[in-house]
Amino acid sequence: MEVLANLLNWKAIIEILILWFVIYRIFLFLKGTKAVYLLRGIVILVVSFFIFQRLGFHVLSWLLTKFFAFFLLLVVIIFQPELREGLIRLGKRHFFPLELGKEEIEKAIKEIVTAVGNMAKRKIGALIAIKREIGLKNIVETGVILNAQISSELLENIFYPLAPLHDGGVVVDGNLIVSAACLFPISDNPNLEKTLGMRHRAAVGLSEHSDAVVVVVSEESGAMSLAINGQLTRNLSGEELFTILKGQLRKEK
Amino acid sequence: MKIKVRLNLKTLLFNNFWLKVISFIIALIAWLYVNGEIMRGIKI
Repeated sequence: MEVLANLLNWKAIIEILILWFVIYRIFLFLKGTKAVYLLRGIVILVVSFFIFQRLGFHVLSWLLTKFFAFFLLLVVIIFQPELREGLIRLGKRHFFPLELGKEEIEKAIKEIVTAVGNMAKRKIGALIAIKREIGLKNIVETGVILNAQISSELLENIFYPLAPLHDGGVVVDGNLIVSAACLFPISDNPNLEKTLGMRHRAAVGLSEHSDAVVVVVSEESGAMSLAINGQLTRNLSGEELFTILKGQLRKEK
Repeated sequence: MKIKVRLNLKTLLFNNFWLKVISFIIALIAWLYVNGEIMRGIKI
């Protein structure tokens, strides 16, 4: 009863809401990075610690307590770049959708749609992931880092057959092409059409693992498709693609 | 105009829904644990 009375206190509610927000942001930041495995490790250690304490296994609890101190130091050293980036992002506060103005977002979408339209006409395969809230660092690291201003010409150049970076996908963050020739996770969804190629499966796979919006151009048919939250919408026109992208990227605001 | 507001609210609630639920549970457990520890300290 005392706990319940404490919970109904407005200060407690604010404290819990702040904690919730901080934990949620940390999870969002970790979701796209290798650090998610580290988080799993920490959770296992913490759960083990509590179980050992409850069961009265004093030696194991003592060992885990000592290991924790060492482990935390190890984490700071190993994940120093990630921690630095996290703090910088925390300082910046605004992420991609808020950093860019409405016009800039629309301009970036126009460049993507123009490039995709041109490639579709010439039946050039393309795979473009547009980052939203969840980080795609683990995907970006598998490719060649570009950090180049987005333009339809550059996108077409990347996917031009025989170009060194045409294999794999491109990651777009805001108005930047962050990385090219990236490896996307392949979807193992059994409900996907058997006729779908690896490019489309990769698009669906990435959209299942993150909140990214993934645009695909089929090499065989030149059809434009869009993968969002594991769902593939096929045979889109340029206008449809523009409208959906605009809606999807704006709603983050 | 109403539709736009509803859409934004829907996004706010259901975007990364399970991540939000898990975060909330962890936040609640953490608060209860720390609050319990503080209360115990005060009683002692």
